[in-house]
Formats: sequence, C-alpha cells, structure tokens
Amino acid sequence: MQNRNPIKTFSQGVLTFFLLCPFLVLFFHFQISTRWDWNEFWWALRNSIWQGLWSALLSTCGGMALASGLIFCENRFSRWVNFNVFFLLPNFLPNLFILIGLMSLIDPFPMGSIGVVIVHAFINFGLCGVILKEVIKTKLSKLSDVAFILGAGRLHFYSKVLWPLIRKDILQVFFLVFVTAFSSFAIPLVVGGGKGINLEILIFEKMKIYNDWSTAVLISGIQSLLLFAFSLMNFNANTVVDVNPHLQSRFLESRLSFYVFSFLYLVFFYSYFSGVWEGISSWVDFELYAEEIVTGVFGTLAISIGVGCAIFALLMLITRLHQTNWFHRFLNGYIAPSTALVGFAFMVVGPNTSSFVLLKIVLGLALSYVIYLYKMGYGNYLIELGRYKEKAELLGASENQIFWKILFPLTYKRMFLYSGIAAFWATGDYGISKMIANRDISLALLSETFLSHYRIGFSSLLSFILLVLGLLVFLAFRGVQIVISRKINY
Amino acid sequence: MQHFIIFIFSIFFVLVLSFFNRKTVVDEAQKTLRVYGYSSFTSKLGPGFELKKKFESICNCKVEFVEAADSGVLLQRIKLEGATLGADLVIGLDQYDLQKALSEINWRKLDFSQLDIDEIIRPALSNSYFVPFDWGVIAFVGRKEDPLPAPKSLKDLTKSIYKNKIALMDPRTSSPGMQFLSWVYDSMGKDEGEKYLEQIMNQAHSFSPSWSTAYGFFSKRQVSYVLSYLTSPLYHQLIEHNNSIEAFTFTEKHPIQFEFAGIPLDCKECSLAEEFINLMLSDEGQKIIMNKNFMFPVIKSALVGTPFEPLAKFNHLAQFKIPSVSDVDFLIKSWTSIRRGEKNAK
Repeated sequence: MQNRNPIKTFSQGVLTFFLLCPFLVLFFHFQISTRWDWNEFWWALRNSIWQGLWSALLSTCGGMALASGLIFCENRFSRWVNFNVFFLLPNFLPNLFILIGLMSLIDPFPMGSIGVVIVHAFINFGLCGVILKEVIKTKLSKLSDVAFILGAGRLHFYSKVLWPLIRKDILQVFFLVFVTAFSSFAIPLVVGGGKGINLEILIFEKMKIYNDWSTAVLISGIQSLLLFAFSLMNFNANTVVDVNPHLQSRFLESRLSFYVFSFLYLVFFYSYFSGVWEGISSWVDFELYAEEIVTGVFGTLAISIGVGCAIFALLMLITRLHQTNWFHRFLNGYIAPSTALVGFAFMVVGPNTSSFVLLKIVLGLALSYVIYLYKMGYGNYLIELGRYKEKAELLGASENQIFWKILFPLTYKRMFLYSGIAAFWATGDYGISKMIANRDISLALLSETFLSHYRIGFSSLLSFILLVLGLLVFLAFRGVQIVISRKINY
Repeated sequence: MQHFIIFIFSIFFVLVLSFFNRKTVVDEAQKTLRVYGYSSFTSKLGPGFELKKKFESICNCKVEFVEAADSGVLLQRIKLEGATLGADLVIGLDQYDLQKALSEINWRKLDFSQLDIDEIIRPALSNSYFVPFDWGVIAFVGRKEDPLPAPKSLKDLTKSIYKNKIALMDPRTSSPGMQFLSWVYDSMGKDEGEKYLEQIMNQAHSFSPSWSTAYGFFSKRQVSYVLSYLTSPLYHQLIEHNNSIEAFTFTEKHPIQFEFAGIPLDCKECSLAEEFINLMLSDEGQKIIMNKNFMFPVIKSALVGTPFEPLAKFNHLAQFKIPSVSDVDFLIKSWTSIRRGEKNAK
C-alpha cells in the first residue's frame, strides 16, 4: 500500500497540469462553438488508424529483423563502430530529404496512405530495431545459447522462448510506433496529399483553413483520449530474466538482415549525401549568410541544450514522483497535442520578445518529447525499479534517500541518454519553432527559408550541419553522464 | 551526489535568468517600426534585409521584423500582439488573404492610385487598404532536355504520358496551389473544372503543402514539371548559370499572383510604416524586391534594362480580381469535396 503524501500528489498535479496546458490554454483562449462534421471526422479517424496500424506492424516486423542484424554486427564489429546511430539517423532528417532519399529507393513512390506507411516504417525501423535489440540482450541472453545446446530448432525457440518472453515488449514497441504514426503530421501532410488525411491534418486544416480553433482543440482532445484508451491495454513488460551483453547465439543474430538493411540505408544515404555535396558547391552562400548561419548555430545549440536540460529535469521529477498508479497510467497513455496546437498555445501565452520566444520553444519541445520518451521505455524501467523502492521503504528509508541513493544512481544513465536524444531531435525541430519564433532563430528554420528560395542544395548542406550539431550535443550529454558516473563511483 | 546535481542545475538556472534579465542597449529616443511578414521576405535571402538597412539609414529608427509561419498565424499574431507591442506594417498577404485580413483586423486606408504601373496590374490597386509591391505569373516549369513533349494547356496535363510527372501544391496550404485551383475554374467553368480536378487528383505526383517542397521534388528530378512562376527559370539562369529550365505558355490565360502590404489601424508608428511602403515602391526598393524575390516589380521604371523586362511583357494573362470570402470558401469547399469523392471511390 502506498503512503499518501500531499506534497507529492500536489507535485504530480502540477506536472500533469504542465503537460495538459496546451489544451487548457486553447480551451480558455477560444470560444467553444464547433462546426462538427462526423463524416470528415470518421474518415480522418479511419485513415489515422489504418496508417497507425500498418506503420506499426511494418516497423515492428522490420525492427525485429533489424534487431537480429544489429546483434550480428555487435558481435562482429562493435569494437570499431556503433551501427545503432547509422540506423537511427533517418529519425533526425527533415522530411523532404527522407522523401527524396526514399524516392530513389522506390520509384515510382506511392503517394497517399501507402506512401505514409512506407515513410513511417523506414523512419522507425532503426528505432524499433535498437529498442528490440536491447530487449533481447537483457531478456533472452543466455537462454538462446541454452536452447541451442539442448538442440531446440530456431522456430521452436522463437515460438516457445522468444515470443512468450518479449511479447509485451514487442507490443509496446508496436504501440509506440502506432502512437507516433497515428498522430503524425508532417509526413501525411507531404506524402498523403489529398488522399491520406489523418486526424492531425484535419486539426491543421481546421486551424489554418477554417480558422476554427475550437473544433481543432476538440479533435485533438478526442485524439488524445482515444490514444489514452488504447494505452489502457496492459503492455507492461516482464521483469529482467538475465543479462549477457555479448550474445553469440546463432538463433538471435542474422547476417542477411544486417546486410539487407545496410544496403537499403546506404542507397538512401547516397541520395541524401549527393544533395549535401551539391550544397557544398554553393559554398559562396556560406560567406554571404555567415552571420545568419552563425546566429542559427547558436540558436540551435541554445534550443537543443535547453531541451536536453529541461528533459533531464522533467525525467528527474517524474522519477521522484513516480508511482504505479494513475500518474503512470496518465504518462503512459497521454499524448501531447499536435505541434501546431502546442506551438500556438505557447505563442498566445505571455510576451513574445526574443528571450521569451526561446524559453517557449524549449518548453513546448520538452512537453512534446517527454511523453514520447516515457513511452520509449523509461516508464517501464521505472516500474521495474519499483521493487527496489519497496524494499527500501520497508527498511525505513526516506523518500529523499530512496531517490538520491537508489533511484538516481540507477536511472541517471537513461536520463542522460533520453535527454541527449531529445536534444538531438530538438536541433532539427521545425514545427513548433516556426509557430513560436518571430524570426529564423535556428538552423532548421534557416534551412527551410533557403528551401523557399530555390536553394535546395544549400538547404541539404544546412540539414547536414544540423545532424552534426545534434550529434555533438548528444555526445556532450554522454560526456556529462561520464563525469557524473565517475563522481558516483568515486 | 545531490549537491553536485543541484549545483549544476543552479548554475544552469542562474545563466538562464541572467540571459532573460540582460539589459540590451536600446536608444530610448529611437522609434521602432514593427513589420510583420514571412521569413521568405524578412530574411537576408529575401528583400527585407536590404530594405531594412536602407530604411534605417534614413529614418533614424529601428526596423524590427516579426515572422509568422503563414497568413493564419500572421493574423492571429497581429491580433494578439498588435494592441500591446504594436504592429505597424504587414507584408506578404496575397489576394486570397485580403478579405480574410479585412474581416479580422481593422486597416488604415491607403491611396497609391497615382503609381506609375502597368495597366494589367492596375486592378490590384482598386482596394482601399492594401498596396501591391510585387507580382508574378503562375506557370508550369520544366526542363528543356526532357524527352516528353512540353504541355501546352491544362488539359494536356491529364494525358497519360504526364502521369506522376507533375508536382502540384495543396491549395489549402499553398498560395500557388490556390492559384492553380482558381486557374482551373476560371478557364473551364464549374462543372468542367470539377471533372478536371478529379482527373488531376490521380494524375499528379503529389500535392505538397508548400511551393518549396514541390519545387524540391522538381529540383531533385523526382518530377518533370512543377507549378511555379514564369520567372523561376530566371533564377537558374542568373544564379546557377543553368539555361535548361523553362516555363511553358498555356493556351489558358495565366493567373497573376500579387503580394500586398497593409497598415493595421492600431499601428504605433504609422507614418514610418507609410514611409517604408514608399521605399518599397521606389525604384530602388522595387529593384531590391525584384532581384531577391524573383518576382516582377509593380513600378514600370524598375523593370527597364533588367532580365525581367522581356518576361514582364508576357500578356497572356487572366484578368485580376480580389476574390471575396465566398469565392475563397467555394474553392476550398470544392477541393475538399473532390477529395471526399476520391475518398468514396477508394
């Protein structure tokens, strides 16, 4: 039984309020008088579900195959290079460049809902593969070797050992992609054309075309409730069985999968880097726009580091306040409203002078990312740590001691990892920044401006600089983590 | 450990607080002209930067650009900030935004009827609140070396040889996309136009949310043709020294897109705003706009002796009109219903 702690409950309420604030702001800002169209809503909902389910299915299956490829390459090449980053890169590229890369892979590229599913799947293969590889490493480890020695066949191992043990993890990855694809905005907007309108696009249309903010907020609220309802299905993963970081099992690794995925990604990156190369030829633009580019680099770093720090603070707060009750259910089920709504909500609150704009962008992005990161596995990890917490409570440890002596040393590495990932994402943000910012304060915005002035090559080059900046900030967070590790171990 | 973490966070917050409380050196006596517009105009790549420099050198004032993602956000931003911070000048609305802008915000009357402009664009001056500062002719653009025969009409675009070869824009999110929709209805009428749009839905490679995305598909050779401007090939000729891009003349009269400037009624530096418009419409200002935006100037004299001059003589133009709210509503609803028709057929 959990003790009721009023300060903790209040803090949970404040955090919940922060996460819900875009809805609340818009709810009070606009009059609720909607022009509701059921036909349009059902159609968009059907598209959202269709795109979400197929994207999740394709990504999870591909991710499972890629996980075995990643295990193969970790066993063979991990000393030289970390391939995870290579497969995760499409997550951080602007959509136009992903599309152009994919169009060189699939020609003719099917626009509409099928195209949306393909793009989602390609972007998420890496993420699913890396998550599932980690799950396999932590949960199956020596079991595969034992099964092999005992003479079990590959199929038998998959059906009797792998599936029962990581079924819930797979479902969780499926749900993660489903949520992303269900509430995806930029990709259906570009690839869907008129054919793949989903709920997010409908929200955007209501705001932009019909200036009907109340209907937009209502649809967004319904969308969040639907996803919350989906999340009530119990995906809580099993606890860790055994850990063996160096898997050698033939059952779990796949050479073919590694080479197939590597080939696909190489063709994709070839197209992307040929665009970057074109950008280098317009080097003269660098001198002309040096001041804007330098300002953009600093703006990007400020946003990126700010978001990383905000995510770290939020994850610390969540860890401190975490309980396996409504709070976890809320964090696990809630999705932040669409980027347009978050951006607009932050734009209408408070002054829009340059320093506040930066703060608003950081808060808006942190709000959008923290929920996603929680679903990416942080929440379940906290649940797994619940047993340590319970033991400490039984032994009479105070909340403060439990957090600083037990939970923080066990979670800080993940917190830094997730903060680094969020910082990486933030470098490439365009949606929320464009809504709130009153000028091109980051490289991502500058890149879009170059694109609207015919300079696609230079825009590709800027997107590459964004990738490098994102990687540097990510590594900076890892560096701070190493310093803290030394301090903790010392 | 907790002390170390608290220490790190304290340093971070002190830095953040000092950043927000820093005193910027501002000359209190100097006036500030707040100009709202799109990044394509206000950034250094656009004409805004040079116009700002020019204006600041003569006005003893500061020009502050405020950007917005699109016209919807722009108008919301003006409504939110206009009364408190002051919105002195709005730049970049096109003819499809004007009525919406008039219905949401009160504007100062402007009179620029005496401008020395071409007769074909004089109807754009017929309104009392907004003044056009540049214009462009909507046209399809392709490559000379393309093996396909160049399309000669809107009807041609529905031929099977062009299937998945044309990049268009969503009229609900893109101004050229809206121009295309209007072009179809103006040249074909309602019934014929709807049939044509149904065909083009399946024919086009994509309906991108913005011109830049569609043009990106064209630049990357994902499509052979893109809806753009008559002046687009000039960019490739003058900047990239590439003569292979051409704009096609269609049998249907081409639509014209204007960009307008207006002064909100609750402006704080209204006379400065008018002076800024005067600069934009001066020979020098018009040349800056033409060379940066790759659009035609509205003032005749700015064209003389420029590579834009021969193109501006293109006279196969549809008559300009400022669409009413109901016209825009009809276009959007018609597009939505065609999209739904496709949905039902799927």
